[in-house]
Amino acid sequence: MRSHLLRRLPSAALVLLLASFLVFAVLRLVPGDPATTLAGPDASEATVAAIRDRLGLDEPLPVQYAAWIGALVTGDLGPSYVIGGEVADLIGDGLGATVELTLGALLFALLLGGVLGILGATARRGWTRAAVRAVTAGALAVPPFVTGVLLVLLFSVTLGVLPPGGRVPLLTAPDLGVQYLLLPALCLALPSAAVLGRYLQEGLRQALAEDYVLTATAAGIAPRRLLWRHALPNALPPVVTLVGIQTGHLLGGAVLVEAIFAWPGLGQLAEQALNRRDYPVVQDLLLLLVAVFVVVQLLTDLAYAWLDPRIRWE
Amino acid sequence: MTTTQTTDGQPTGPPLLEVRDLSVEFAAPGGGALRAVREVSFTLRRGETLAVVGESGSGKSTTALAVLGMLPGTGRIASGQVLLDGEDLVTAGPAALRAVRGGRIGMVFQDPMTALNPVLTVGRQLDEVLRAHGAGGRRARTERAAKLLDLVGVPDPRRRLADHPHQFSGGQRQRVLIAMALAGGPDLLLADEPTTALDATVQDRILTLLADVGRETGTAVVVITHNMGVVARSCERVLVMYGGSVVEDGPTARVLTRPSHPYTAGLLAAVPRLSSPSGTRLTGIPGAPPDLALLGDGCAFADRCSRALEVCRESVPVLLPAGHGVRTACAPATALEGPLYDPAPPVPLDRPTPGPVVLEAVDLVKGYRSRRRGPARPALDGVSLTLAAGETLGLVGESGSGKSTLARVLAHAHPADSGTLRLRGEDVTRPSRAALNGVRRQVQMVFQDPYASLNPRMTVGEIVAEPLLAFGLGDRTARERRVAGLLRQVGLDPAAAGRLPRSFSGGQRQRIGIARALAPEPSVLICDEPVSALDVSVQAQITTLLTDLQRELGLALVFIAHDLAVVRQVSHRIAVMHQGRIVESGPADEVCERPRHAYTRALLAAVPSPVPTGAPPARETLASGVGV
Repeated sequence: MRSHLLRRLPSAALVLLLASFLVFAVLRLVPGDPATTLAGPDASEATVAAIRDRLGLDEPLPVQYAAWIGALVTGDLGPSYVIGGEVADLIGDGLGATVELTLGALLFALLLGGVLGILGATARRGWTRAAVRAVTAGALAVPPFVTGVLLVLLFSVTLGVLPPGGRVPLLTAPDLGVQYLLLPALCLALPSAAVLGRYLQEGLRQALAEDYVLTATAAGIAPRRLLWRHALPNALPPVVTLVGIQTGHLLGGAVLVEAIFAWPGLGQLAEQALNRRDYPVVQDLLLLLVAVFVVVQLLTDLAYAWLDPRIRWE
Repeated sequence: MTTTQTTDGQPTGPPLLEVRDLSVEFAAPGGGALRAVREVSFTLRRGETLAVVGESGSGKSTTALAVLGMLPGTGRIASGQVLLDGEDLVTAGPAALRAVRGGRIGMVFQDPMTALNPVLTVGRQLDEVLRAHGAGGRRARTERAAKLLDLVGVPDPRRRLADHPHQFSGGQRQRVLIAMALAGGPDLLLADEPTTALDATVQDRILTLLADVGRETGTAVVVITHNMGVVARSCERVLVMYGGSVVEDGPTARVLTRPSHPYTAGLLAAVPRLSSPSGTRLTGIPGAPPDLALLGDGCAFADRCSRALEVCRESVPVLLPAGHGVRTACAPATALEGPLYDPAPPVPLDRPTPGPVVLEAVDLVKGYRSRRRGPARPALDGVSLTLAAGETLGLVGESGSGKSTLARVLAHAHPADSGTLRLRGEDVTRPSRAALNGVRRQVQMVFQDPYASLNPRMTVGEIVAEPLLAFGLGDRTARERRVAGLLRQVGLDPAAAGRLPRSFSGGQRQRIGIARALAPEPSVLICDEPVSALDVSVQAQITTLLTDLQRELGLALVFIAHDLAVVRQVSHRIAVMHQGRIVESGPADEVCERPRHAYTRALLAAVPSPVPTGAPPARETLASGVGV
């Protein structure tokens, strides 16, 4: 297990390094910089130059890059240029909310995807299968800003059982926090749930048609066990890969859903920082996103090896 | 385990399993019903061993699945009864059926490589069956699982319980599957083609194991097979099926020596005998196994039968006693006085003596990169051979011996790591890009699986014309003419060019594959197991076609097969491969009659003969490395 991890570490580090180049370079290719934003539309050339000098933006790019990365690896995210305050504090404030939303959505995606997949693969009645197909297609096709509005209409306006927006941290008040989390998490989770459900359904169908299921059936093993012990572990590996990819989608999608539900997460911070060319905030945020993605991929690999003994032994 | 010794030692007690007028239907694509099993009846007593023999589409596997209530897809039992100790399984509920499956009837399937769940340890899979059939607490079950592995001859059973299926060899996996089938202490063991996916030497040991287990535990054993050698080797009684019906049922010794149904007789004649010398024509049955969708009233075999009368096409024949404990479903044959089966004298093939050497390989080495650590033995480890025009070189060996790798290297599908390949004296080991095309044109391949080797979305005409297109030979009209000619040459109607492969039988598909290989006018044809996937009764049609084509076109043939008897009959010379080397080569008859290498002797000894013998044939012990 450890060697499995160690073998993947260099490539993970390389991905992070390349991502840091890219993030740094792309920001500087976009027109405008923090100095012009800070100085305002009517400022003189001299004022802008002075601000540039203060922020170190007149240094050569490699020097700027080295300063950023050098500080980052020592754990110092430095001050924000435009928004104000320390980058670490800004990110820290929104991080909890975004992680909560993403994890909530992931949980929903796994549950819903699991139910859809298993129902779709095992339902004997035609209409059950048709219903599963319809739900899956709908969840995939309708974008979050539509489902978000529909969910609010139904649960907040019509039924009045859930709040339409805002957040109460789950850890401080779990019962209230869940009520606020439910709608945004569901809205964010639906497309991922549909994708996971489709893959799981297909994997289960194939696994249930395998010879070993025939062998187990002929040995008198009950259908429930055939599904859970024989087919499911064999159907899971591709789904696990997909969960890793979907986690990235969820993080990205959170930005939009946060806006719909007034969820005070990193999405709002990212939008602000990007619009105002707050280099350090955007750079650190994007790199954080990449780092999360890399870690999720490592976890996926581990889960893969754990699920399939043939990989474990190689 | 319930001991089911008969009271008087004779298999005359009450029937254990009685199948009465069993018919199975599948929904046909057109909306009608397709009858895969038609009014099959037989009885099985405790401790009895029964072989069910037949070719593809005979309904033998479907019958087995119907007995267990496990028909796939749209399959359903249309009529009949399956009585297990008098209790009808056809009307039994799901819970009762589950108790029967594994508990009263254990089943072993064909392919041990796919029949075990790859993510569960062998111990877990055994434990699961034991628990399903109420075999005590965890410790008792582990104990029992280890005993079962020991019973089926897996060494170091206690430790191996923790291993996953991929850590076992094919033969060992089949042993594990037999242990699983025995775990519930069944009265009946159903084995569906239990040795078809295994090498001959391994097959022999698995059959011995099945027979031993049956004897030791008093379990009745039913072996479903297409292989007459397996029948002769393992069972007291045999049931011959054709087109969904039982055509003959009787003691093995009688049926295999004096068959009373024309199909049984034809099948026996078609089985290649190891004793037939090189250059004799294989015997076959004309035509192809029946298409169940087109099967009307009357005897399913009538279209291929030389003795068919008008009455045979009008009504389905019923099983009638034919003396010596045999029942047969053929009125004309029952009326016949003399023996139906007359071992015909071998017909020598008309084949010219080989010409000059076409293909020469010297010291070929080819390895595959392994993801596992440690140096891997190369798949080809210094192979040298020569092949002359008009000559057939038989290449035999077990799986993993390097036969297919050699075929690919010879055909320039894979490059060799080292060594020299000469085509008509010219070094073609590493040809230039332009020369490679020329070499590939000269050396063509025919593949084993006629179902997988033809693109299902291309018409037969497109398939056969593809090499012409690839090598840029002729314009459209010339290609069409050539395709028609080729199809005629391999015995197909040129009109076949417009149809898709799926409307052809296995034998016809193999003809299409041969036509494709012949298209660019090669001088060497490499046939990798060209008849292994075909039914015995149509094998002869393909081997005959190959030898005819060889005579007409002066082709040099490499004939790769695991069936030594076929190889001997069609080959001038035989090369025996083992672990990437050619361990013995020489004239076909010489190699088969006076083998010099221990491995050749082991291969020869493992060939099951369709002639029943009182005692099991003497077996050689194998060198290490080829064990089960």
